[in-house]
Amino acid sequence: MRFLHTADWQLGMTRHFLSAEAQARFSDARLAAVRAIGDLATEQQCEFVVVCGDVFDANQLSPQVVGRALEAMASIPVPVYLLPGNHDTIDAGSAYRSAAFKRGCPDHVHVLAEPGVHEIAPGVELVAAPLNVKHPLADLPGDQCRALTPKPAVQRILVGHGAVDTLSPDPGNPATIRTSTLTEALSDGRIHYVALGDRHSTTQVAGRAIWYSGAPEVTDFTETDPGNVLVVDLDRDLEARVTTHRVGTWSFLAPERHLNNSADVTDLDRWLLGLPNKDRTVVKHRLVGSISITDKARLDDILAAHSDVFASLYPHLRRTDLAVLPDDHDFADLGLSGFVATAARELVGAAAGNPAVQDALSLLYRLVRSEA
Amino acid sequence: MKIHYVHLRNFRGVTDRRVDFADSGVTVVEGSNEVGKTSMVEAIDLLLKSPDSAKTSHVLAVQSKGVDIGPEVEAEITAGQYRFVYRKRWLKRPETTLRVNEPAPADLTGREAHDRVKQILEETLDDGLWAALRVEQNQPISQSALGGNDSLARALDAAGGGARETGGESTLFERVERELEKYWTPGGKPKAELKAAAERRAEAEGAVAFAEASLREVERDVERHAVVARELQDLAAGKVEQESELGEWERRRRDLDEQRALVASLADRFKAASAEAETVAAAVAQRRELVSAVAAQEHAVEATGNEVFQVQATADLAQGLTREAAAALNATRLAFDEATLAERRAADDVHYLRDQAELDNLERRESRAVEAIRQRDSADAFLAVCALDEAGFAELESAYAKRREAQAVLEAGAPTVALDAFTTLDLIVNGERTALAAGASMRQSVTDVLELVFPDLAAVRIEPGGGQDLKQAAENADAEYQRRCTDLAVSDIAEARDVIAARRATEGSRREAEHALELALEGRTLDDLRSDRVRLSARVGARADVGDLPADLESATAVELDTRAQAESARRKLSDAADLHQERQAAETEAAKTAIALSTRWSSMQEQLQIMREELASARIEDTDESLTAKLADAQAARSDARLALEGAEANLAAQDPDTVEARVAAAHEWGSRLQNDHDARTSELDKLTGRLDLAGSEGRQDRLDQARTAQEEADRQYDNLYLRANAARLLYEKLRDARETAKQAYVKPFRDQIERLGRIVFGQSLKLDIDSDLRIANRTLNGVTVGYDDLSTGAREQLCIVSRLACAALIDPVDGAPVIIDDALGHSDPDRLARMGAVFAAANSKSQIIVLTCTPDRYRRVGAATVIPVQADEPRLIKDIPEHEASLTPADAILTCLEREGRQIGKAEIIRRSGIDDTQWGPAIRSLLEQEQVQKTGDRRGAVYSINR
Repeated sequence: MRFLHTADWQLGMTRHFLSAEAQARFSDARLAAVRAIGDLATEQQCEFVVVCGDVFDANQLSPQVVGRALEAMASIPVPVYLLPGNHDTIDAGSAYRSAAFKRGCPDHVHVLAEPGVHEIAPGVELVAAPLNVKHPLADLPGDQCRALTPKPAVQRILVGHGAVDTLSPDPGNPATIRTSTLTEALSDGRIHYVALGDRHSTTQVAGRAIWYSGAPEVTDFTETDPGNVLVVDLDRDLEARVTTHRVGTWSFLAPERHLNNSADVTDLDRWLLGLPNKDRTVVKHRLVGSISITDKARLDDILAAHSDVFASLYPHLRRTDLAVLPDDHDFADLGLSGFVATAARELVGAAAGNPAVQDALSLLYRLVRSEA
Repeated sequence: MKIHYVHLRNFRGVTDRRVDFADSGVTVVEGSNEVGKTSMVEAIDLLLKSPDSAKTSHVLAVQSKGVDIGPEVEAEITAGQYRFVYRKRWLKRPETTLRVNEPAPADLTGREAHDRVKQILEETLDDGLWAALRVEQNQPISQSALGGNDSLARALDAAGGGARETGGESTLFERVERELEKYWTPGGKPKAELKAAAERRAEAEGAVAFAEASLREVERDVERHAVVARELQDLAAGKVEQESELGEWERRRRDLDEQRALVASLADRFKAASAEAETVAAAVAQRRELVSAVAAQEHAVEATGNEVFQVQATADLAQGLTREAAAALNATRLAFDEATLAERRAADDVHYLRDQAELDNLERRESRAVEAIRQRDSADAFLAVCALDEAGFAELESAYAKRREAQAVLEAGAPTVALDAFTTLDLIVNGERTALAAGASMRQSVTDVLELVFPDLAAVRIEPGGGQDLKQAAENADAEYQRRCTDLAVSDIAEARDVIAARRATEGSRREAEHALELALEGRTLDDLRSDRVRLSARVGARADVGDLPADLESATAVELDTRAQAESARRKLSDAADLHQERQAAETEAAKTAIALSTRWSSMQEQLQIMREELASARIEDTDESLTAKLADAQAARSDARLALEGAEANLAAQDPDTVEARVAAAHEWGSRLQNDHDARTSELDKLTGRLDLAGSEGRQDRLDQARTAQEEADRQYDNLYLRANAARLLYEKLRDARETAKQAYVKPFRDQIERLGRIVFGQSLKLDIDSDLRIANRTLNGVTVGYDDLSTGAREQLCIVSRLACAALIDPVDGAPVIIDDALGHSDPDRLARMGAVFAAANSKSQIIVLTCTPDRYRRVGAATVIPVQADEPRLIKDIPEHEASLTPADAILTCLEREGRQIGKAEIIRRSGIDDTQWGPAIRSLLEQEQVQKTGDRRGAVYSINR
């Protein structure tokens, strides 16, 4: 028995660092990923697709977003099981209960709104642990495990959403999923595979048949391995076999670059130049170091030139620590004299640690240079 | 630059003069007015600036009058490293020669020489300073614009180590200023761009807040939905509990209800027994009452019967009394009738007697009246024929008196004729024969013509002369008298007197008759008397019986009075008897009425008694008195039994605490309805929430919030960028501005120090000056009092001007600088200040040249180490004419000179006339000037005008 495990589609997500045009392409790419999942399911002969939560980025989405998402799901040729996660909780205002969803939901798309066992085919059961609040007060998958007893000749897939304790130990959070509960249930045959969502990077937990599929398309800079879906083979008496398939086309990069001289600036330029798929790449750069005004001017030019090509190229303001400190050449080459030289000298003296003064110096530099 | 000497020839009034200046320090050139001191300065300017070919107004102006030799100037000058002798002649035989002695000897002439000097000066001389350091005689003294002078600036740079501002720096500063003005107003407020960005940011923030709020609203609704759903479940559980509790308590209430029904029936029974007992008791009481009532009635009937007998006796008595009174009344009435008759009879007698007396009286009066009337009528008959009355008689008397009077008057005035007869004389007097006895005398007054005729003898006629009128009057009076007598039918007065006496007697008699008539009639007529007499007479005659009349009226009257008194007494008796009878009758009626009423009552009482007896009898047939009493005892026992049973049941009911049961049932019901209300409210709220959520679900509030956040990020970014740029611009501007000010201050300082040093000699130690960045004195502070430069006195301004120039000379490197030339200044300074100024010149300790031109040497006497050069006017020399054409200009130069002089657009004809060229020279000259673009042509053909192309 083979099925496709995915999660965290986060449809409807908006990224503030994207321009309107880039945002539109990004949204398209996410819908394309859903279609790619359909293609992959066909190609891999999966019997169904299970989406482990956060299908939608939020409950209060416009009917267009919901409608287009369902339209994309309609292209998946096999049954699709959607688990409500913490972003799309199954509550009174749930996207799953919106008019748009009810209107557009294809017959083969099912919402696992009720917790518990759902037999989806002879000998195949999904054990759903849907979220009906953003912050549940219990380990929902664990609770499901405890309620189960082994059932011969049935393959059980536990479908859950949330963080496991081995990856994010948070003793204060009652919703944290206890890995031990899952492993015990796996060991005594109550369940045979745990399909999890919430973590956007593809991750196996505790070396067992417990997997986070990760988001099919990148959503944030912190993700280490996004853009994948899992094809799971589940055979009786055998440990689940999981293969990773890439469907995502975008990448989010948050490089930290140290700039301390002219060469560093040149390297940055080369590096940016060498990146593939720039129109689908977002770079949030963290520039650290101290460069001369001349180099800063050049850096500004370089970044301005590249930002036209990338989906987005912008500074991580909190993590950027680039001091612009004039060196001997900056103003010497410009041949400042008189009170201008005096003022420049004083500004240079006060520049360290004072971005406002650095800006003033840069302005002076620009004005003098453009005049020259 | 230094000027070693100046040599003028044929220059204005100067024929030939050379003045040598000291190489450094002060040279005072003394000379009287118009000796040509100022010309020397002018000459140097002209030498350095104007080419020998120039025919400008300046050049033309310095030409000596009356000589045909061109003005010529020669000077030896050191400028920078160069030292040269330079000479020029203008207008006539123009010429330029230059001998450079240092650094390398060279000789040049003409244009080449001019250009070389120009080049040397450009290289070494600060043109502005050259102009600025001069104080000219014919110009108002003012501060020189030293700010723009490179030499001074260099000197100040060198002195203060400050950096003077270059053009590049100024431009940069302006650019920074422009950058600042992009973002900030002059007052330091943000400008439109920055403001708009801030507004956009605020708007975006507002939009996010709004979107967040609207999303939060949904979240709240969701949470509330969950809460309400849970509450509904709780309510359902509560409902189950409530219903079981209600069931239990209602069962207990049903038990109670049965108990209550028992109590009620027992209470009914008790009520019925009570009623029965009361009924029987009432019957017993009624029987007793009836028996006693019969007894009472019997007693009453008996008493009333006695009373009836008594009353009847009283009535009978009253009847007897009444009869007696009626008899007495009748007797009294008879007596009364008799008395009344007697009274009437007596009255009749009195009347009769009175009538008789009256009749006698009437008859007497009637006869008296008839007699009086007869007497009166006879008097009236006399009076009717008598003509004389009292008035006529009075008039007659008067007429008689008047006649006598007139006669007397006539006689008194008439002559009296006295005739004494001696014999008897017969004579006729007025026709009347009269005999007069002898011795007799006749006396006659002559009132009329008196005619005495003595028959046969004589006739004497005597006429009363003037007495004619009197005579007439006497006649008139007589006539009157006579007429009246006639009228009154008397012959004379005597008769009249008789008649009037008779009349008066008759009138008296008539009055007597009238009086008598009045007395007889007593106001009535005679006819009245007669009718009264007839009537009375009839009445008296009517009485037949006159036999028993009383004797007279008096006795009749007495009888009448007596009978009247008797009648009155009888009447009183009658009235009393009638009253008594009436009284007795009333008493009788009353007694009879009382008797009847009482007897009626008595019979009705008897009837009543009969009825009561019958009633009692019939009641006793039904129930005897004994059986009634027995019945009463039975009923009272039954009631006691019923009460005991009821009290027992009530105690039983109370013991089961019915209030609590009722309260619990009610509470359970209330609980139920509260649960129902809550359930309804929650259900309705849930419906509302669902409706709202459905609506919100179609709005995409999350998308809106995301969009708003993106917009906010963008607005923030834009604002931050803009703000950083604006801030940088401001910071940079402020830094540059401060640095610039500091630099300027540093730059000005040595100059100010120098001026103050020299100025203190003139103004005292407290002097302080503010120098602006253009190196002008802004204001002067003396003894703590600050005065703006422009507000200073002319003298002080002049002194400060010279001080500042000397300061300048002291500061500037002599090689770099220019001579300070002071042309006859200090005209406004007092002797003390002049002395001080002298010291200033010395203290300036200049290595540069200071040239003072003066016509009043005293002003500069105190300048210590000065070289003094006196200058005198020289005799004009005649110099041979120089051919005009030799000095003439080329046609092109002539046109240029002309256009330059005119300084306006002029036409061809005028140019030819004013420049002195001829028509044939015009064409080629103007074409070449136009080609070289030295001249500009405006308009066409005859309208064309030309001007210098600048």
